Amino acid sequence: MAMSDCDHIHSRPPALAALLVLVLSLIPGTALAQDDDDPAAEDETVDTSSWRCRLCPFETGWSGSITAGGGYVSEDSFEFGDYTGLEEEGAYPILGGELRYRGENAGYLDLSADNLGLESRSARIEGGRQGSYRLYLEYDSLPHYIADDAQTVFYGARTGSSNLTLPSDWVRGDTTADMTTLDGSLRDVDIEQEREAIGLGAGIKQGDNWRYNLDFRRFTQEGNRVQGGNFLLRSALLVVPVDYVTEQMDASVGYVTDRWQMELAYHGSFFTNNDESVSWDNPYASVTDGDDRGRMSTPPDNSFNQLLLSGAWRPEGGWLSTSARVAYGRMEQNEDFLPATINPAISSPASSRDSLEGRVDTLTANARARAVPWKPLSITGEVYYDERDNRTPRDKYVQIMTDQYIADTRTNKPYGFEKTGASLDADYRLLRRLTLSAGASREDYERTFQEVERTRTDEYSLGLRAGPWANLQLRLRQTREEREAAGDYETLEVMPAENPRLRKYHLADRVRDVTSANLSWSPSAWASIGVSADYAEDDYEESDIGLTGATDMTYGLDVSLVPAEGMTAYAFVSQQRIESDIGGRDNVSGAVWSAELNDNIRSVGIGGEVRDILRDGLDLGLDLTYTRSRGETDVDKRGIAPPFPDLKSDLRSIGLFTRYEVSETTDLRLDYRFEQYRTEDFYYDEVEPDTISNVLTLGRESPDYDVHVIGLSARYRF
Amino acid sequence: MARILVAVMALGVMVTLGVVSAQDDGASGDETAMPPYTRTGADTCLKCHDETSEFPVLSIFRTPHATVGDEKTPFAGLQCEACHGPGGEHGKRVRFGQERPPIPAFGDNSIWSTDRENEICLDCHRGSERMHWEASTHRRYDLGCADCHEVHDTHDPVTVTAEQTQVCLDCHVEQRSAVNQASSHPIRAGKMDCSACHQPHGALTEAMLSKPTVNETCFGCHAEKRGPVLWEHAPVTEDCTLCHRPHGSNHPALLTKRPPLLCQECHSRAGHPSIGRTGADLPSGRASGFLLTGSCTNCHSQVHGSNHPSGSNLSR
Repeated sequence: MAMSDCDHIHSRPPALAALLVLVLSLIPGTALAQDDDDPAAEDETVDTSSWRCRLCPFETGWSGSITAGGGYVSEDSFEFGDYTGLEEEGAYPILGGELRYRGENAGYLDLSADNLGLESRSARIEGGRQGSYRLYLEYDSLPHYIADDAQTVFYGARTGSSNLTLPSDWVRGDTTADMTTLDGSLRDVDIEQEREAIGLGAGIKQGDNWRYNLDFRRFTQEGNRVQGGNFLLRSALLVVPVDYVTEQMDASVGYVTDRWQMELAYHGSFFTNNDESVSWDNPYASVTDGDDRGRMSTPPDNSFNQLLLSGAWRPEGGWLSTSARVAYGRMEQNEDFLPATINPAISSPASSRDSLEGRVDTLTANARARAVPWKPLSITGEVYYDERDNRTPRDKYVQIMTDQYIADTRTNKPYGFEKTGASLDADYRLLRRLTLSAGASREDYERTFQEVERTRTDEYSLGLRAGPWANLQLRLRQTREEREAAGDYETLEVMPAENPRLRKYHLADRVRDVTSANLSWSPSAWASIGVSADYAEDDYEESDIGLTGATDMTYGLDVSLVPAEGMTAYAFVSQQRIESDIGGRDNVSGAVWSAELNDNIRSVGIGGEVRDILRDGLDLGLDLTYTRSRGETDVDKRGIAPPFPDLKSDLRSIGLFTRYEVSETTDLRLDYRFEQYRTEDFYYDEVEPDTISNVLTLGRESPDYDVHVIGLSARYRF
Repeated sequence: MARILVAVMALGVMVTLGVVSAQDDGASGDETAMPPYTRTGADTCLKCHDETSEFPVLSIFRTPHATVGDEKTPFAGLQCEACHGPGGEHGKRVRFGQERPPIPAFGDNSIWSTDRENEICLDCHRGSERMHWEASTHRRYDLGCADCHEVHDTHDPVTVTAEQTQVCLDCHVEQRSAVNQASSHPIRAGKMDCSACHQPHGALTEAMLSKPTVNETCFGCHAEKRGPVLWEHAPVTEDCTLCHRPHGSNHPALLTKRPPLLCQECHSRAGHPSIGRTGADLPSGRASGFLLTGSCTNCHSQVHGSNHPSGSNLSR
């Protein structure tokens, strides 16, 4: 699609528009500060002299509850315990509670704690005076259990060291089969992380209009992860340490009135990695002098500072509402470079700089307005601008490939982009229960150092929202999106050569059709049914190498019932099918191949809760869910290749609870949960540490488990 | 499949237009006259709405809306009718067999529109989080505050991390299968809620994200991937969702698909990147490291970028 000069996105019109909206927000501010449309004015006419609220049971003083008990997990399973902390067989404590205080002068204090006996524990305390100020302190722990069946030959992996060494009797080999001491050197290592977050903050309301907020959060992430470390085409999967700290600060001041509001905010994020690199012994036989060890970088310390200015303006009468936000940020990174190699046989090349002095300036601006020129019609317009202005200096760097040999000299590519877009949507209420919609949008996307300098995406949509009966709502929407490159697709010049027919899917010409339908029906006061279907089809019409087509179909059925007082029930079915077609050709001019990927995921669930079953104070609840996932990989290459097995996972879950109110202050709760998980993953199954000749793996298998959990707890309320 | 859906939609449109036209009475609930207020305020309401009634309401006195000492709370003003509207008609005596007039707002068969009900909430709750409500997608689809919030209870599920997702999934059925997939954020475990990334009260960003961009949203928890670094991977700097499905995936690390095919969507250089891997590369065959375990990432493990001077091919 041809573009004229006036289309050039450097003009930043949306950014200016966003600023204009903000300025407009300020102009009427002084006039509208004395807003005479305050609903309270209407209230003043109401005679409330005899409104005593004698029957109102206002709450003051202390109240709360304590929950305590114990449970038992029937089997060790990292997969089951992931994020919940129930990864080990055996007993576990159940401990939590809440404490509330309400004072006569709107003072309050809330304290809550959950899962105190588990790695997934959390706690929060908040207090203040309602309507005036608040202070809070919170803590949260999130365990992430990744694998409990990994084995490694490297010392240091189990202690979280960034210096991984081989046993003294290690026999290096050209292949993993030649590593004759491998079996005797393997040691179990758990792959796991724990993320802890501590947050504190305060909020103040001053008068009717001013708002101040200050929040600080500190995340620590500790543990390990799997990362490949290679020497040319021979690799070992390493267990490398994770020791991250991220500190975030948010501060804002806002001014709010009925008709307009503004907010100025600051966001700061500061990342620190306590490991600057990972070094490891080369388990393979030497290829070049001095290639006994390798060293790789870890994510460097970095920071992000951002200022955000937001505003909204809503003139009287509701015919127009506008809001906008402009955010200017700066990402910086200047960690000292590691040496180009640690190979003592290769003299490290001179470098023009010791650190990157990396800097990216970001500017995003969004403005949206909704107008109702006359009652049946509403129009929503939007403009936006998103820029990644990468000011990182470019330099030449001699590449010492995998600490083994001197390769070429390369210049870094600090990627940047500018994205400019606008959209217009109209809703026309043709009848009281029928609204027709139409919309159009355009986005120009300009990138640096990539195969396509600029793409343009146009989107058109039609929709309908209807309620043919009061208890039935229907939504239909059809969208077409067309993306085209504004110039030629210029394959980057690299060695070895890239296939000139390749079209990277985020740069390629594409037509996307999206159809969505939703129906919500309440056949009676006690039943509601929701049905939805979404279908998206992508056609990369100019691509034959790379992603050539994709479809994504999702449908779902959701039923909620309240068949009787104190009784609720639900059922759902959802299915998603994702298909992708990929084309390829060996070595640019060799055998042509095509791949078709299908992911099928189906979830079904049914459950409910009954209160006062059999006797007063006895409640019962049940949840049954089943999720079935299948991944099909079909690669057609000369028609003779053996097929891939399916990727499979089946998760069956039963949850059952009963709660009995022993007295007005005490109730007992019995929980039972069973989960069965079955997986097949050909990427990992049957891959022992020495199965692949040039990759020393951790021998992990895809997880299976059958875990029963039972818990008994008592809650005391006061 | 698309043609079938479009045909079904077209049929649905025609049927709907016909039925809606037949059903439409042209009236709007908001056009009805303002009823009077009750004579004694909440005392009038609570004579019927005690804990034994069909619609018990007393739990509201444990919530911020009925806090003693806060002059902004509804119970410091028009009490129940501050939110529900004038209840004079609803609360008056009715003859035997006569249907009781509905309360104007937030009740069964209420006569005020969703917009008008929402305005009641926004009169007080007009902080920065709701600055962009009016032109938001939720507002456009006539979503009401009471569709998600239970203000009469101290326990409002949509404000509780472990329970919020169920409220959202009632409408966002397409995400239900995603959160149950093999790889997902800790949503099913109740340790992460939708509002960790999304701003349901309105945002100017795509998918109502809280942060200005997709990547800034992800960097909130994954700051180690923010950089900038010396050797960047172009799609990483643009949009995390080019390779990841944030709501859940059938593949590890929320990837849209597995390497090597994921990588081969963008890389087809002569040599190993271009080779189509088949079942012959499984352990039963030649057990290729270009396919199994991490595939491409067995060597190119710095897919999010490298700050190593010799890391241009993302392996250091």
